[in-house]
Amino acid sequence: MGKKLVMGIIILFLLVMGTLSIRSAGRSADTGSGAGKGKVGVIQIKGALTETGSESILSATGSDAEKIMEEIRKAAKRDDIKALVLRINSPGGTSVAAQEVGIELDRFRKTGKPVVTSMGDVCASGGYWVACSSDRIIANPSTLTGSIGVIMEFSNLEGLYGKIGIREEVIKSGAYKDIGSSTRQLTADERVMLQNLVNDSYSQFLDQVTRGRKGKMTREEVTNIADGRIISGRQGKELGLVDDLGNYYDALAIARKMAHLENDSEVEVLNKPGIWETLVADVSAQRLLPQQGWQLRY
Amino acid sequence: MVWSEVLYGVLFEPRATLRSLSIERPVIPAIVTFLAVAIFNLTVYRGIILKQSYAINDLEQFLWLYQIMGAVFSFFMLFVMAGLFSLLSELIFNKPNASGLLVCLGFSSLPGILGPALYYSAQIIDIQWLGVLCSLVIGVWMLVLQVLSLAEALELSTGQAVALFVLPGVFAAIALVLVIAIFALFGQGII
Repeated sequence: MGKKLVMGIIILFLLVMGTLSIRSAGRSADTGSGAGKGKVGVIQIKGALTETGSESILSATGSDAEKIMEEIRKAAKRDDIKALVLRINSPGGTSVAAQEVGIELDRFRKTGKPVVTSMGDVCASGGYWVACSSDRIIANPSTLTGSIGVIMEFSNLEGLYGKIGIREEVIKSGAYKDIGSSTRQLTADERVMLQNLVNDSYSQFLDQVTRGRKGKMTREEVTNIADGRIISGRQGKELGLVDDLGNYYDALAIARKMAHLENDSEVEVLNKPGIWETLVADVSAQRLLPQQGWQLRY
Repeated sequence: MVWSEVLYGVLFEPRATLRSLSIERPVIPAIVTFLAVAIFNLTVYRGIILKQSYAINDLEQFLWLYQIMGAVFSFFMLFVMAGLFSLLSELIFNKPNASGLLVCLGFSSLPGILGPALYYSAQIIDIQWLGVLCSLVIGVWMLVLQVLSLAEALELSTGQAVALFVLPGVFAAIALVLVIAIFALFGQGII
């Protein structure tokens, strides 16, 4: 009898602990415990922001704009997601990728749900473009941000090709069809044409920042600092590019407040990287040559 | 022996129970017990680790992978330990009993099921030191059971069992010192 009682108590204790641990494994301590009262969705943007297919499978170090857009759309349709926090740690990316994510965020905000950006180490250029499509921007004092501008780069390998005996023969339908070719210098006309292209994209960037910082910065103020300069989170706050200084949890708290959620409301990371992405991100080599060619990059 | 009696015996009357098990050699129940402990602990450890982790990190999805790898490794080590100690016992004392030792070592993992559960309960009531203390006590308990397993399965005295138990560790330490010494001599250009 005594043996059975002792074993019964032990088994009961183990069952209780097992059940509790399974229940708590569903959420970690900092995700909040207010299940069922509405959630804050978190979307992480890490590394260069690019379009699907523009990166090789082994360079999964960036954020795929299409996947991010998909998560934003899903979050907009979900009734339990009441606010969105963008956790951005990105130096920028292609102009189209930033624009696409920005447009989708604007649509999300039209549903009445707030978007708060939390900047990590870096939230510059295209990363800042995306941040401008949020209601509040929170940065750490040492976050690197700014870098508002557009860049397009080409390599001229004409001299190298000459040394190793390579000469490219080009048959083209128009004067500008091989614009940006690595086998020759840009002509003056081509340079003007590409500069206009960059200027137009830059103007769009200024529009986005002016729209995103409406009431906080004038277009003139934006233009004054939109020369590609990198600034800290604290400088950004002084200039008006950032609303508040704080960390990820401050951003969560602000999002909860804006969405009228409880302080302990649940948090769900909507785009957690899969095992493959994380493993590849750790082992993949960085590019030896800078990314160049037909891309306007923020 | 009935399974429930074996479980009670391993926990509270270990010497006699392990002696009986080393003779009866119920290999499958021993392996099932070892795996049950490993799987239960896997679940409770997950709760413990996630209770201490942050929302934004990527730990959660890898936890199962790490834990399953750990459980597979410990299962593999059970056979390695049984084989190694039996071999050493045969060489030193001429008393091998690999399957009996496998059974005893498998069952001696049983108190390990209480460690994480007690730690987790201490974490829930927010007395961290109590959880650490419980884990230490359970760890010592398991070590004692492993030594008793050697003593009973291989019919050794307690002193001989302790000596046999620490022998692989001593060998490993000596090998480590030798490797470090060789590398140091290489580094100084002496070799």
